[in-house]
Amino acid sequence: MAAEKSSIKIITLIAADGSVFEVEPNIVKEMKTVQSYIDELDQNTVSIPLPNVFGNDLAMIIEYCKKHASEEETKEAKEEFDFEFVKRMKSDDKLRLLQAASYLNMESFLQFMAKAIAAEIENQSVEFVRDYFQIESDFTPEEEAELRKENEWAFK
Amino acid sequence: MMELISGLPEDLARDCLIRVSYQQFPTVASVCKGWKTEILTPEYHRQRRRTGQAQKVLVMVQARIEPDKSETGSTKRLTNPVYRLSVFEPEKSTWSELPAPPGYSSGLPVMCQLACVGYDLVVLGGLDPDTWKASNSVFVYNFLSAKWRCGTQMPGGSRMFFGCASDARRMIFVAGGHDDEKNALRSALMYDVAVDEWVELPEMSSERDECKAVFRRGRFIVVGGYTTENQGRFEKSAEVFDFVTWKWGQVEKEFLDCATCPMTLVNGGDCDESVYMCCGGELVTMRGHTWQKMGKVPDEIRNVAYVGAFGGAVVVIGSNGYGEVHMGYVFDLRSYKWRKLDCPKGFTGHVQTGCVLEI
Repeated sequence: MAAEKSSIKIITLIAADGSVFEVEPNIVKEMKTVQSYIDELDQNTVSIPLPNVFGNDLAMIIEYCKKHASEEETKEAKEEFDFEFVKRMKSDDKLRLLQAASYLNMESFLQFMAKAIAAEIENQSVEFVRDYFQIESDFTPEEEAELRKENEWAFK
Repeated sequence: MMELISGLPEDLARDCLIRVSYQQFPTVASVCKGWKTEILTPEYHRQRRRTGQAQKVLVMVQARIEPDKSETGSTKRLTNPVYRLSVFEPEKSTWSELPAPPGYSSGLPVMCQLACVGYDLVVLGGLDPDTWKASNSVFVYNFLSAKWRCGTQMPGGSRMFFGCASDARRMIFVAGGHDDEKNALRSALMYDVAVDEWVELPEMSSERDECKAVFRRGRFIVVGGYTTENQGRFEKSAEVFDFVTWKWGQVEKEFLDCATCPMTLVNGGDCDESVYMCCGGELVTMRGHTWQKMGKVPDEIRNVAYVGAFGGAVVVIGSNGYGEVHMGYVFDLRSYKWRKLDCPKGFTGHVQTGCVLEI
């Protein structure tokens, strides 16, 4: 694995707001953006600025990575963690974390967040979905009336 | 252009939207024009399939269980079973029911056939549940809009117990069966679902009542059945339609191993060129030109009602005997192991036929 080839012991991540996080190499394994940076270095410590990720979000991502990188945690415990992790997020948090995942090039975390966002649509009314994603209907009043008539159940 | 999700680049928004379940398609299409366009683009669905988000779905024509009678665990007392479409998702192990086609709230035509093309599920023929008259009706359920539409009726006089298969993209093929005087038929038809148009195919070389049809490697294959003279004495033979020459090819005399009803014959999923069937208590598959045993059908299933193949798995639905509860087993094509399906009470009625989709 790339992280083991390198001699780096501690990685310092600096978020957009200046907050600093010290993590072990195995925590950033999934962050390909960070990984490609440290692969080229041959030193014990490194500081990496992440100007597109805020401290609060980075803290959550690190928390997620720590849990998932742990070999002591059972599969069930990780699933339970995932469930709680998503539960305490607001819609803005999810969209921001998805973008952070994209910036950090974290494939499985990105999928996890995309799934969490898609789940917001499940069994919800059209009004709820519009509200949640702050989308204004651009259908004409006639089209809107037709949609409501056809999909009455979806507007409940 | 407006963003699909405010603040998100388009590819990330699409990453989210491809993960909604098919049940939410009508909701997604009603949110705004951008979302509606998105779920109607082929690329949306290609990506959904490519990334494994498309849902495998088994749709079955299944008898409704009346709650007060299910207590005994038997469906024997139901004299006129009411058929509806039940939906099983093997990945989530969930069961649900589709709405009835317009005018058929009292049940689907009995012995109707199913085929699917893209997002369209097509219900063909059967006996009208009220009058018991043979009907050549065609109903199409679209999974994107969650709506029914009526298709043009099957032409050429009444046709029952025919074979039916689709190329999964556009066309549905119908062959054989019998007319309302129980004369076995050698005629065949092709239905273009999107255009809603029937085309007659040349006649087969043999009459084939109660035949089965599969679509394999771009070929429409009609298997088994019997002639008017040989009532109920099934043939082993099959014939293949060649779309290039627009002719039926040479009859393959020994296509089946045993002269049996070919009802359980089914072709594999998208990436699987095999055909499977249940024969003499065994699940068998055709390798080259010979049939090979894959595994013994679980003892609990003495009567096989329906066999469906997904990528990597074969589902066998059946019962322990006439009128008994129906149950399902999944055969894993890698491990060669059976797994019993969890069937909730409402979904243990007689399964008449089924169809596999990926949506």
